[in-house]
Order: sequence, then structure tokens, then C-alpha cells
Amino acid sequence: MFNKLGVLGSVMAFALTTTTPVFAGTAEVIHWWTTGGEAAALKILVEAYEKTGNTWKDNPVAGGEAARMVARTRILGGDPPTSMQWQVGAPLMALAEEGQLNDIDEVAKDWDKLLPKVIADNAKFKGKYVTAPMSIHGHNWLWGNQAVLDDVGIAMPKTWDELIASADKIRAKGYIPLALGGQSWQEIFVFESILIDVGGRDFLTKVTYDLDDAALRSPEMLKAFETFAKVRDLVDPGSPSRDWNITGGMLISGKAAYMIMGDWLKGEFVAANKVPGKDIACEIFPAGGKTLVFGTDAFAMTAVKDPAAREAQLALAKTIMDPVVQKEFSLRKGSIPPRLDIDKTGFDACAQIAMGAAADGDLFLVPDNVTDATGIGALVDQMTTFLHSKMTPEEGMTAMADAVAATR
Amino acid sequence: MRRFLQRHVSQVALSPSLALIAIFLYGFIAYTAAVSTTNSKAFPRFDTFVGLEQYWRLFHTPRWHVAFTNMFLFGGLFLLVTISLGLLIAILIDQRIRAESFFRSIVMYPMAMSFVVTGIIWQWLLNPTLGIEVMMHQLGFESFRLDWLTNPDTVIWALVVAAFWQGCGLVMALFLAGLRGIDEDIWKAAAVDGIPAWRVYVFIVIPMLAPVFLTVVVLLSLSIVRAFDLVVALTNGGPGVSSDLPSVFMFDMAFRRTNLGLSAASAGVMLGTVLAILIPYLYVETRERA
Amino acid sequence: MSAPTDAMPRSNRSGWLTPRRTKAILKRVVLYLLLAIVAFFFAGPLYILLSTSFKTMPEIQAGGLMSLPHEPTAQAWVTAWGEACIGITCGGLKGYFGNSMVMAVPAVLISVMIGAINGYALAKWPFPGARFVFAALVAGNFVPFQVVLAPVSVTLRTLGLFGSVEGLILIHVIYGIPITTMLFRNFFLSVPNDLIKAARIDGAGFFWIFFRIVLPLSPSVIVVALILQFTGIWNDFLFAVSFSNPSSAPMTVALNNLVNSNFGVKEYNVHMAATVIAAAPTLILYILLGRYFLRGMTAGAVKG
Repeated sequence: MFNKLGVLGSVMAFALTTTTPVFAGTAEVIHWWTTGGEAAALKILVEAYEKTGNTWKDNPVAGGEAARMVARTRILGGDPPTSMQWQVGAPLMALAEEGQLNDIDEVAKDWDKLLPKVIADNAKFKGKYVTAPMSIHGHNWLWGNQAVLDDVGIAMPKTWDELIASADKIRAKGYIPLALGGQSWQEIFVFESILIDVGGRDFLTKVTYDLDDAALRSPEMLKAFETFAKVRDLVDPGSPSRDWNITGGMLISGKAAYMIMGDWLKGEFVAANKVPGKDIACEIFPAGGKTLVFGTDAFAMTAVKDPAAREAQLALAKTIMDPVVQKEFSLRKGSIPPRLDIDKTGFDACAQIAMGAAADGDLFLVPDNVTDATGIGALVDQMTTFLHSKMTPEEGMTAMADAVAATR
Repeated sequence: MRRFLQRHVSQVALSPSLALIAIFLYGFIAYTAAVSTTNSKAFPRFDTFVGLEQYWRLFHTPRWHVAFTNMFLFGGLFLLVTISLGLLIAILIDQRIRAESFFRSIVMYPMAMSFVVTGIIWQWLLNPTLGIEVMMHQLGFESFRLDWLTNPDTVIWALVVAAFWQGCGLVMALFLAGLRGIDEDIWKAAAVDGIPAWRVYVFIVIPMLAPVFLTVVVLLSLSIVRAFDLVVALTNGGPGVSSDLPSVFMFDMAFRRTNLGLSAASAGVMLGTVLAILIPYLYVETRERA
Repeated sequence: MSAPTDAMPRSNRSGWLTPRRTKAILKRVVLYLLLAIVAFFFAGPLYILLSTSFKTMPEIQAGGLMSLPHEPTAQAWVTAWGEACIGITCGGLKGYFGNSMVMAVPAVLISVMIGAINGYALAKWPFPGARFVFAALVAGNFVPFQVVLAPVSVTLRTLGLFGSVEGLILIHVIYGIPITTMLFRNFFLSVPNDLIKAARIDGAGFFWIFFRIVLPLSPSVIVVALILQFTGIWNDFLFAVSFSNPSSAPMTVALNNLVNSNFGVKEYNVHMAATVIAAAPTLILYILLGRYFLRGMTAGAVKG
């Protein structure tokens, strides 16, 4: 995964990066990166940050919701952290509207040029940046165990019809067609992929961004539910509630042919000595959909008043957007950097595909960051209820449309 | 002043607690009720008054109906299983057995575990790929299936088992204490009259334990209302939303879905239901003492 | 045939095993069998916790839930206590243990003391409306804590206590008052009133009677209250994670970070060891004081 020359080059560039400390401040940062793999990536950021003369005070809380809850409680309690890991888009605006964020425009003068438009737009409040994006993770990836595919004699499918068609051949050879962990956040990746498949990016927008009632009851939606119902037969009985990394293990060990999961799954392959792109095939799914649903890890800057804390925040924002930091971080995290000007050497084949998609403007911000959380939440609740039940596609579609309508 | 203090010393001693409870419990319940009439999202905003709309929305949220019915389903099963088995175990231990303190400690130690730990342990045990099912397969029972966690229709049983494992100790201890408080003479009289043991238990002893039943129900109901950690650790509301409970729903709405208004409404409904059951009990309970 | 006696030669008896005796022995066998099943059910998870914590990861992944470790190793314990990494900080659970102690001990002692005084007041010095007061205090038990997170945060901020150990102690004391009051009140009701009356006639006051007469009668209920409160406060996660900062975080926060991290291989043995370490104080408390706990129950601590 590491191109030796690339690593050497970036290490040298890294070492040569010097910044003169202005105010030595402390940044207390709440985040949810508590595992070993995440720590390796975080170390890059921390070390680079401390080179600016500031101190990093680490406050990890496992679990995204728990971390955000703690951050919010701290804000309510009048003791906000200096920065916290937070989403972009609507959740960020919720904070900004309460006046809980500082703008960091001072160091963000050229960010508009460096970032994809969708990120730039969603990281700003009233035209000023309030958060610094660290990494991008794509969601609707299809992963295939190459050895299994070769054994069955099929290629990576390009559409959902092809995937379902290949399922019988896979089952005949004794493999599980789709490895899926039956938790709603994993299932929504599958569902979003199907939505793109039946109606393209526009349909996905109408359904998940606008929660448009007509779209939710349209023939395309019915087709989506019909396909989604077939997913019930693609997975094994142990699927419900299973954790994603154990499910990933099924793909890696060759028990299953496919898995739909975000690109953090690559970390699991690497740990098992499999090469992404070679041992495990990857493609954005549906191929040709030109839509990569993605989420951003970004650090929002809270409304601290103390000048030293302010300086610490600006230094943090600057460090996060530093090209060397972004590249080294993403190499270890399995993500891709938000900056469009990072060169692709050193990244694995799948990451390079993603970076190409970002450059092409195919990025689609995850609905959680755009739509009203209750509305999209109702959609997700109904989606997962449908998958774990024996509802017909018509019933599922109506139930979802009604539940969403009730949240307006 | 001094005489007032002397005459009302009891009330004075109680007043700090009362004041604190008034604010931190009832004050905050009122606060939550107020929030439930607003359209608060991530932070409480009292300038977004919407009346009872959140309650209307709540009523039309399918997931809430699942959570609300689950509260009674889980609660009812939990009470039934824990009380009956707890009583049974207490009776067994009361039979003047050897190593009584050993058996008592074994049944009671799970009380020391937090709900989080209990959830973790039982999640592992009930996991089809790691736990009891695998063990049974290895013992030769190939067709053994323990799919409580993965089947939406039976997942509540997983919660009940884990909660029972943790809560039985207290119930057993209470019943045992109650049994020990029963006069020896009753047993002697029954023996003289030739009444079989099981009859004595069912028709004489259990009615005498009525006060204990009441206390047990109150303490267990606490666990039901608070069963948040257990659900999150064991099933996270899944599969789908089939093991959701009001406490989890409330938390999700507040922190994951950033909808404090809806969350407050759900809290209101849940508290209202609990108090509707609780107040009659407390009325009865305190009346006997007067 | 007359009943067998020891005076009869052995061969004359119908046997040591009379139908009546057989029935009695069978009953005992069934009893112990049932108890064994019960013990197995309750002790099983603890056994699995402990045995897994002494296994190596390859052995765990190979399966065999109930088997003893082939080559027991305490490495998982060492890691859990002192080395386990939570993100970029590696120091295990030991630091957080002290935080929990500093927070829990005062909170338990204070809430038990307050509950004792409250229970005593309600049981022995009633006044009009005392029943209502008691009901109001007990009903407060039923508030799920998620509901009060937001207003508590605002209140703590107003008091300037947010994020401090004192603030966390205050919260635990306040929310512990209902249950301790209930315990003590029910217990004190069974203390004979004559003692109190006699003392009052002699001119003794509220607190004198409390400290000199009532409290010495109460060790068993005090134990019950201490155990229940300590368990609740020690094991609390919600308040701990919401109202502490990294340097004062109790051990439940660290445990959650350790066990709920989703990425990579789950080191089950370390998780199990960490779980036992986290539960150790409460477990030890139960083992040491379990007998007094039962005594306290028998003495009427929770009689309805």
C-alpha cells in the first residue's frame, strides 16, 4: 500500500515543514477515533499540530453519537472544547445558528479553490468557514472477493440486476452472495445504492434530500423496494445486528462474494494482508451511476473567546488542511483527502478511483448531513423494518412514505 | 423562630432534599414538558412554540409504537419471569440446604454488574457466531438454533434473559428475607394438619409475602424504565427497530436525530404512563402506614 | 409390621430405605439438581468472562466458549489495567479507577446520610402531608436520566460546577436521595415507637435521638443503602460521560471507549479483563457484605 518513494518523499516534506509558534495555546479536541488504526492516523495530525507550538489535549469518546452528545452537553454547560469532530452540512448549521461556532476564515482564504464545491458549501456558515475537513469516506462501494469471483466465473457486476443475476451461480458454488451486517447504518448504504440504480443521482436527491412525497410513492420507488426485497435472499441468516468488521471478515476469508460498505473496510483487508483492488475488487456501485455518497470527518471550531484558544483553533484548522498532513492521514485511515490537489501516488487502487470521482464532481453528501434528521431518520427506520420483515414492496413503500410524511 | 424550628424540626430536616428534588426532578420534568411543546432541534429553543404538534407527530411515528409496546412487553415478561423464578429460587434456597451462602452469592453477584457489562456479556453469549449456539454445535447439537438476537419476533426474550440474570438477585434476596420472617409455627401447624408443602406455599406463604411483592414490583419497574444501557449494549434497538424501548427512542431523538422537541414529547408520554401506574401503588402503599 | 427400630436386628427391618426416606432423599436430589442448574445459569457468564480473559486471541477465535484456557496468560489483564490504548493515549484503566473512587465514595456517603435523616423524619416524626412528601420523593425515582441531561447541564453551568468532580458528586447525591429515603423510611417504620417516645419525654431532640438511638439500630439497612448506591454510582455511564472531562473521567467512560471501539479486531480477552476490573469493587463489596445485605433485608429494610 505504501509506495516507498512516496513515503520517503512525504516524510522529508513533513520534516521540512516548520511553522513559527505565535501564541502557545491548548486545543482540547473531542473525537471518536479510539481504535488502534484510527490512532495511527490521528498521530499524524497531533504531531503536526504540536509542531506549531500548541498543545493537543485529547478527549476521545467511543461512538460517534456519544462523542457528539458529550460535545453538545459541554457546550450547554458553558465549557466547550476547543474543537470537536462534527459532520458538515445541516448538523453543522444547527450549531452555527446557535452561535456556537467561531469562523476560521482567517486561515481559509484559498480553501474554496482547494476543496470540492459540495464540501466547501457545507463547511461554511454565512459564507465563512467554521469547520476544517480532515478526510472523506465513500459509502456506496461494492467489494468483491476476487478469488471467489474467479471460482464462480463472474466479473464484478455493474448494476443491481447483474448482481442479483449472479447470486444463484454464487450460491450454487456454496458461497454467500452478499455479506451484510443487519444494522440500519449498514443497510442504508445498500438502499442508497439501489436508489441510484433505479433513478440516478436525481432520484437519490429527490428521495433522500427533498423527502419528496411524489418520489417516495413513484414507480421507481416501487422498483427500488422490489430490488431491496430481493436482498433478503442474498444474505445469510446470521446477518441481523452483526457488526460490520465481523461481516467484513466473511468477505475477506472468502465465505461471501460481495459486500457493500464504506471504504474504511480497506483497513480490514490490509490487516489481513489482502491488497485492495487486487485480492479484493472494488468499484463504486452502481458503476456508471457517477455518484459517490460520502461523509466527511471535519473538526468544527467552537465559540471560544480566549485569544490563546482562538489562536490554537486557527493553528489547528491550518494544520488540518495542510497537504502533507492530509495525505499522510488518509493513507493511514483508508480515506481520501478533501483537498483536490493531492497527488495520487502512494494511494491504493480503490482510493485512486475515489479521488478521480471527487475530481469529476461525483461526490454526493450523505443525506444525514443535508436533510432534517427526523425525516431521514424515519426513512431509515422504515427501511430497516422492511428488510427485517416479510412486508411486500407495496407495503414497504407506503409505510415509508407515510412515516416520512408524518415528520413534516 | 427557635420555637418554630423546634416544632417543625422534621420538616426543616427534610426541606433541603425536598427543594433539591423539586428542582432537579419535578422542575426538570416541567422543563421537558415545556420543551415538548416547542420545535426544538439541537438545543432547547422556547421561541418555537407548536403546542401539541410533537405529540401528534409522535403518535404517527411507527418506531415509537414499537418502542412503547415493547416497554409493556419487555416489562411484563421481565416482571413475570423475574418474580416467579426469583421466588422459586428463594424457596429452594430456604430449604435449609448446605452451602446456602454459596448459592445465595452466586445468584446475587450479577447485581454488581452494570447494565452495560450485562449487555456486553449476553450479546456475546447469544451471538450466533460466537456464543452458546457455537458451543452447542461443538457439543454435537448441530441443529441447535439460538436466534433470539437476530429474529425480530423473539429479540425481546434476549433482553428479558439478560435483565433477569442481572435483577434476579435482589428479588431473590427480598423474598428470602420475607420467607425467613414467616413464623415457624405456621409450618408446624401445617405439618400437624397434614397439609402438603406446596399447598402451604401457595395459599398461606405467598399471600403473606404480599408486601414484598409490592416492593419488588417497584424496584424492578425502575430497571424497566431505565433499561437504556442494556438495550444499547445488547441489541442497539435491532434487528431493524424491533427491540427499541422508550428510553432508547428518547435518547436517539435527542442526540442522534437532534430533535429535542420530539424527544421531550416521548419522555412526557413515557413518564405519564409510569406515573399513572405508580401513583395508585404509592397511594395504597402509604395508606397502610398511616 | 411395626415401624423399624434400631433395637431390631438389621435383617428384620424392611430396610434403611423406607418409602418415606426415599421420597425425602429424592426430594433433596431434585432440590440440589435444580440449584445446580440455577448456579450454572448465574455463574456461567462469570466463568466465561474469567476464562476468556486468560486466553490468547487465536484460541478465542477458534471457538470453545466453555473450555478452559490451554495456556493461561495474564497478558490481557496487564494490558487492560495499564497498557490498553484508547485512541492515542495508552495507559489502560488504572488512572480512571482513582477518578471513580474520588467521585463515588463521597457521593455514596452523603446520599446515604441524607436518606437516613429523611427516612427517619418521615417515619418517626410525621406531620400532615408526610405521606405526600414521601410519595413525591419516591416517584422521583422513575425519571430516566436521559431526560434531564439538558437542564442539568444548564444548571451545573449556572452553578459553575460543570465538568468538575464536585458537580458529578452533587448530581449523584441528588438523584440518589429518592431511593435511600425509601429504604430508610421503610426500615425505621419497624423500629418500635416506644423508644422514641421515651426519649422525647426525657427531653431529647430530633438529632439526638437520631444519632444516639436510631442510627445504632441501623447497620443492616445502612449496608443495603451503601451497596445499592455504590453499585448505581460506580456503574453509571450517562452522567459520567456527560459531566466529566478527560482528567476526571470515571472508569465507565474508559471502559466504554475500550469496548465499544468498532474498528479492527476486537480484543475480547482484553475486553473481558477490563470488564472484570471495572466490576471488581462492586463484586468485592457484595462478597464481603452480602451477608449483612440479607440481614438488612430481613430486618425489614424493604418490607412493603
